[in-house]
Amino acid sequence: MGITRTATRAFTSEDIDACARLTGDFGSHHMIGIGDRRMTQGVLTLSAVPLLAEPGVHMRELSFTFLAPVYAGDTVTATVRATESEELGEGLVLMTCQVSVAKDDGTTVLTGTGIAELSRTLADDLATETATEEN
Amino acid sequence: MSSTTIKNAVHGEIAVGTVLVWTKQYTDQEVAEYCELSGAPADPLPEHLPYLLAFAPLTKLGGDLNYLSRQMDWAATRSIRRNEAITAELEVTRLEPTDGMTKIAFNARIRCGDELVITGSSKGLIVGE
Repeated sequence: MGITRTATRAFTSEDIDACARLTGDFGSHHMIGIGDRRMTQGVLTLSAVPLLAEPGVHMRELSFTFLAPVYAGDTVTATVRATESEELGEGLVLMTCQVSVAKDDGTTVLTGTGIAELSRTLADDLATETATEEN
Repeated sequence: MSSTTIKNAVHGEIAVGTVLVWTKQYTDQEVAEYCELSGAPADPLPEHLPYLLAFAPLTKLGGDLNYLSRQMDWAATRSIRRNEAITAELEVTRLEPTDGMTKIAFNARIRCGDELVITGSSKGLIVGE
């Protein structure tokens, strides 16, 4: 299934504050920092990952390994690549995908896999966008 | 089973078997602000809670513990509607002091009423008090 989505996101201290206010995650490593560097919440880092924030996408399964911290001031690039798909009927598709997030310096900060349920229409739109970006 | 107990500023004494619980129902304003934070469209508001926001009550409990995740695995039976109250349960399954920090693992569940909607597990470190 020819779908690859990539997104780049820079995180700020204000993003960490907003995430803390909305989620209630005021962990000291986020709010005070380690050394003088404030670490992003995992859910904030994951917000950079395409599909996870896409309306109409239901993630049936998701597994992640966090490999390195992300700090305020870091810029990350997140990539989702579909590796398999299965027609579920009723206009739905089940898509298995691989996820990776890396910092600008090339450090991989997380890897994972997911199984997403989405409409055939949305899957076709994403495939078309991928083909357009590759050409 | 480990006999390690740690003291937590929010939840008191925590040991293997401790279950932490937090319930949350997001307002439309909070959903809109989260959509803005994650770069997703907020007008109109989504019918369902953004996937990551559904985990936020667990994130809150993790924050209470100063938890730094290393690994997480989740399975969800369905999307959660925007106006549903969700209850997160975090059950500690491992607690092991190491090098000034504490290794921790837990099983987690998210319920809407009596319905179990998300199950999973995570492991990582408690990095400070």
